[in-house]
Amino acid sequence: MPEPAIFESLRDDFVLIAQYTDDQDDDKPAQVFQRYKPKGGSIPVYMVLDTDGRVLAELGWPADKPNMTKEEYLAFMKEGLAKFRALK
Amino acid sequence: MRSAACLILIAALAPVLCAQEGLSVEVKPIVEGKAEPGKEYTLNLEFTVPDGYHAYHKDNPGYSQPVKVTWKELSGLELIKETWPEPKKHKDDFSEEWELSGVFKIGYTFKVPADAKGKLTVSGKHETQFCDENGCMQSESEFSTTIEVGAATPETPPAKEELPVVKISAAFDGDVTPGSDATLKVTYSFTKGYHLYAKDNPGFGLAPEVEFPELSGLKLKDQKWPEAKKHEIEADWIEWEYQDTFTVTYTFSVPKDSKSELALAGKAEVQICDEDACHMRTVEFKATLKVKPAKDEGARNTRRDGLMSVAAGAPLPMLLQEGGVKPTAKVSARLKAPGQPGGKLKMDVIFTLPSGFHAYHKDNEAQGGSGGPPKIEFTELGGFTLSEVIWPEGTKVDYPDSPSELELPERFTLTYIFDVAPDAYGPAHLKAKYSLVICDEACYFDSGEFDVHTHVFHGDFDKALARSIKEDKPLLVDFNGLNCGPCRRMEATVFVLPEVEELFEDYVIVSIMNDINNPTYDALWEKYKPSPSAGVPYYAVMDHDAKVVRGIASTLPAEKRGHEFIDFLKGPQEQPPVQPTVDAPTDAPVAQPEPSNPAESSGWPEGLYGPPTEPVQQGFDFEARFSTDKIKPGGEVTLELHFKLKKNPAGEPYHLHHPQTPSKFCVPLDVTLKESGGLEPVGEWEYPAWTEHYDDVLDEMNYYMLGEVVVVHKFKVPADAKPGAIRAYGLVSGQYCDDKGCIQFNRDKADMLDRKFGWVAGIEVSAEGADNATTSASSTGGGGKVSKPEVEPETESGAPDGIIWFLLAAFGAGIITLLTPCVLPVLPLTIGFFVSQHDKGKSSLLTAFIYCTCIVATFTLFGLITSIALGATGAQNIATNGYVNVLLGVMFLVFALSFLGLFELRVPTFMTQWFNKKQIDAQKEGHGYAKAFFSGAAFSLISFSCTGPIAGTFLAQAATGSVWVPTAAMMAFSSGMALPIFVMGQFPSLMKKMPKSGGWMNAMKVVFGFIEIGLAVMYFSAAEQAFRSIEAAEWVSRYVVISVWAASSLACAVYLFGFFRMPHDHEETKQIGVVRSIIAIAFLAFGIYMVPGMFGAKYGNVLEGILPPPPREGGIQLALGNGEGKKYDHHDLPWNKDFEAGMAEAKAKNKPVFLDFTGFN
Repeated sequence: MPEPAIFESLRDDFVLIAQYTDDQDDDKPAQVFQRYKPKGGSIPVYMVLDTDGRVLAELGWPADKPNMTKEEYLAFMKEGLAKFRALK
Repeated sequence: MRSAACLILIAALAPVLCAQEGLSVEVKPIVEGKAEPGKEYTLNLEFTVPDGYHAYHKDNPGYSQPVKVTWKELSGLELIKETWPEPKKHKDDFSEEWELSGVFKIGYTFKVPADAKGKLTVSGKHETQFCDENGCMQSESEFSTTIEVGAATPETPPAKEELPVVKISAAFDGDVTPGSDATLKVTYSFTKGYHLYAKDNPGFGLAPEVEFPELSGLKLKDQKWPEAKKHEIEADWIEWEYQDTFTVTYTFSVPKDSKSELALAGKAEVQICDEDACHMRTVEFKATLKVKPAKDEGARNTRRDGLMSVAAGAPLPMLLQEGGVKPTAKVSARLKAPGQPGGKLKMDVIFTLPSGFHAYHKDNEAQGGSGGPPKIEFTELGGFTLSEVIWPEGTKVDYPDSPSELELPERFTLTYIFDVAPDAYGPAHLKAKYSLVICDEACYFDSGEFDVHTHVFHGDFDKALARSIKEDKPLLVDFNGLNCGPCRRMEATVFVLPEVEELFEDYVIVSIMNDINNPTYDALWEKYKPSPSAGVPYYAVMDHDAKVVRGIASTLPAEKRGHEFIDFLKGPQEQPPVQPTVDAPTDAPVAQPEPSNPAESSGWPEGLYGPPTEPVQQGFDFEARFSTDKIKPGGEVTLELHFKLKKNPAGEPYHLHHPQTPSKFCVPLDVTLKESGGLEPVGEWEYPAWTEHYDDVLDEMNYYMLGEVVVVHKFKVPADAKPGAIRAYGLVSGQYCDDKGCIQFNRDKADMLDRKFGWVAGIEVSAEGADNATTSASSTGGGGKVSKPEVEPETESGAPDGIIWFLLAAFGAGIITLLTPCVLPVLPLTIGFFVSQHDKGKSSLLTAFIYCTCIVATFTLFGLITSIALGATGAQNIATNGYVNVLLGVMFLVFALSFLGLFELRVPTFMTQWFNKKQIDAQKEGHGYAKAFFSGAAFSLISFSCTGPIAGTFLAQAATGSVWVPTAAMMAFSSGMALPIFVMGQFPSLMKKMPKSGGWMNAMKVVFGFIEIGLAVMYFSAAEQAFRSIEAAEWVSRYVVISVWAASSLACAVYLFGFFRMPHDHEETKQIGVVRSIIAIAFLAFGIYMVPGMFGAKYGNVLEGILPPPPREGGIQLALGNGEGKKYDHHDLPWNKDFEAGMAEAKAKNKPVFLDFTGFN
């Protein structure tokens, strides 16, 4: 699958939120991070949430694996979308 | 002392998790070779003891029973000798046990009857006690085997011996006394016409190689070989040959504790040659050494004079060697078997005399000797009646000119047996005074006291049960063993604790001893043992129906047994659950969680582990409450969790571990919120200050929280909150510890893997409540650090240590700076100046001090100004500021070029000139101290072209926003420079020890130059990262940094090896010194080490902490950037920076949210 699929899916299927947890001027992202307490606790971490803020899928960045593959990434996105559609 | 205390619970789990069924000791007879009629045959029994356990040696001085083998059938064989392996002597304050573990063999040597033939059946059984440190078990089994009787060594008849033959006979030279030396003579005889070679033969022949597989404790000290014939075969080819019988003399030292006979076995690999050929022969030999008790003939008369009868009881003269210390005996008593009503109590009194001393047997005087025996007089009998004293056998020692004496050795034991009254019960004390005469060549009188504290328990189970019903007390059954060291240890160390004795009064106690005299033991043990593999001691509390309520085996290390046993005796504490501070939950419909579990329907919220129970309440009282009872809508309130830490039975305080503790072993306190009941959480959990505590055993820093620890969390009451009661709840996990160990929070033992308890706190929202009522975290136990919630707690906790190392490095760099070409050539002038001041009558101490203080002051000022200037730019953290990083990168590049010789950095000349002028003026006017001040300042400025870049390196590293770190770094750096100058000022002769100036100093500059290049590229990488707000630099990426590092490191190595010169190198490198080549190799190694990094390799923590992270290749960024001709940058996507706004948008569009937690760094 070509990478543009990821780009387009992100653009069209999701509302995107980026939280810079080390933002010096704003401590809200850090609070959001604490609220969700992702497994492993290190960034980057990607999550798919439903409209009420519940976690549908989570993709962390394990310390022992520097690079995640795009297949993993796609699988994660698909899982999130599938769960979201199942909720409706 | 805290052993790996925090791990104790894990250790305690192990026996539960891996309880093995039916542990036993296995025995296997090993039959090797054939038995020859009329000769000796050795049968080995191979014992296998389960892992972690040990059996005991036949001479075990401790409690435990040795391995016991009884023979059933021997077919005429006659046992003449047993050969036991060397035991592991396990000694502690309490006893000494000689342990055998794993797989070991005991050899049984039999005399084979002359008329033996066919097959001999041998059978028997073993009874083996095996123990670990907690308890003992018994194992027994039968074995049987057959031994074939063979013809008398048909394999090796002497007639068939191949030529040449080597024979060895070995014998000890006379008898010896313990502690002296023994001489062994080993004589080689061999076939005529052949020769053997001598030790250290310079030719080709090998000398006999001798080993001693069996030494019985003898230690080889020396060996002497006779002189051999020096056979010159050709020029420069000499062989040292023995052409006839010869004897090698070995000297051994005899251990002090050796007795009677010591067996020695030797094995020699012998090369024997004639002119044509060489042959190898293996020859074995044996010898026996007779050891006589130590005597000193010369001291006979003194000994005689000193002998006295203690029985006389008169004041006794003491003989003291002049200036010597009076030798004393160590006397201790321990119970071999505790008493039972109507039974016997056995007590061992152990005498340990100084080395080489002996005492006298009670029968000595009767047999004509003059030494009196030890006397023991009981001052307190504890209600027991002495019935018998068992003496060891004495050794009769003959003296040529005086009567022979019946003597006792260095260590001996008198066993006292007491009758226990039939109605005895409870604690009992035995106290005694002893006195004895001990002698070596002279005699000394020694006396003292000892006491023993014991308990008498019931011995009859049924009677004890009846009494427990009558007195309405629970029954405590003490299953123990007669030869059980761990049982005795519990009795001697734990039972005597005052708290235990007090708790004992609440029980009726019966001791069921595993002893041949107690037939009821087996039946009771069979019925009550907690598991098939359980051992003794085992303590069980029983109800009046003789059912076990709870039991405990001593499963913890000795230091912990007290606590555990006391907890066990106290039993589970029936505590009412901690009530939420809300009294009437019925009128609180707001956010009231529904109890789903009927067991938890007592108002305890679902998903919690219930209130803290017994094990927690041993360590602290817990309370969860809000800072006020009532709060107005819109107000802020603090939730407080109070941990009131108690003291352990020894009166030492318990502590909790701070969440930021750097400890790798200890479990920190962790508090979580599960439900806030509609309150809005504000901020994070706040923990109180910690106290630093360095743990020597674990070799790590711990952060303790002591006293009353209050952990808080702020909440905001929503402005639209309805009046009524609100309940918040959550969980607490962690462990509480004293200096010996830790106990994790757990509700009950069955639930050990999830050690938590719950907290619940209530508050009422009411218009009459307080507006705001916030408090903060605290502890009454004092604290060194105040903890703040940190985004990255690791850097915070690591910082104090890091700063010390950083300052040390700065100090070291200061010393190294002295060796640079700007400084070293100036040093002799400086020191000469101090000396001349001294000659002029000025104090050279003061001169040097002023001079050096001035250097330190200049640099410190420089550091202070720099950090204030940096602070003014608003660069709180250089890691996030691109401009600062670019500035630093450029600075390092400039430094690097300067060091490599492109140009020279100088302080503006007017500054140095001004100081020089001042200095000359001061000298003219005769102000020596003023001159010292100005020349110190001038020195700092002149040396700047070398010191500046190095100082700058440290300044950049220290620029973390704080004013004090760079200042301190400069102070450390300049102190490193100034201190050696100061010292040399006092001792000018040290100057001669300084390395001579030369071309190498330029080489140092070049090396620094290469290092600065590496630093520069690092800052450029950080700058890119900061400017582009990306996670990892892509242009000056990790791989660029690594390749620059590798390249400059390799170039530096090549330079040091002398392959090229830099512009300012004047002389050619002709010869490379040792230090220089080592440094070159270090750079070469580092360069090579960095190469795999260019292909994705990861490095250790230190390097990875410095290196930029790899760009996220293959991840989303790369994936997006590789579209077909079209640029997909994830920055082009409509990312929401605001979480709430994003959520609102998602609701409006009914799309899922893609949430990316990321960071600038």
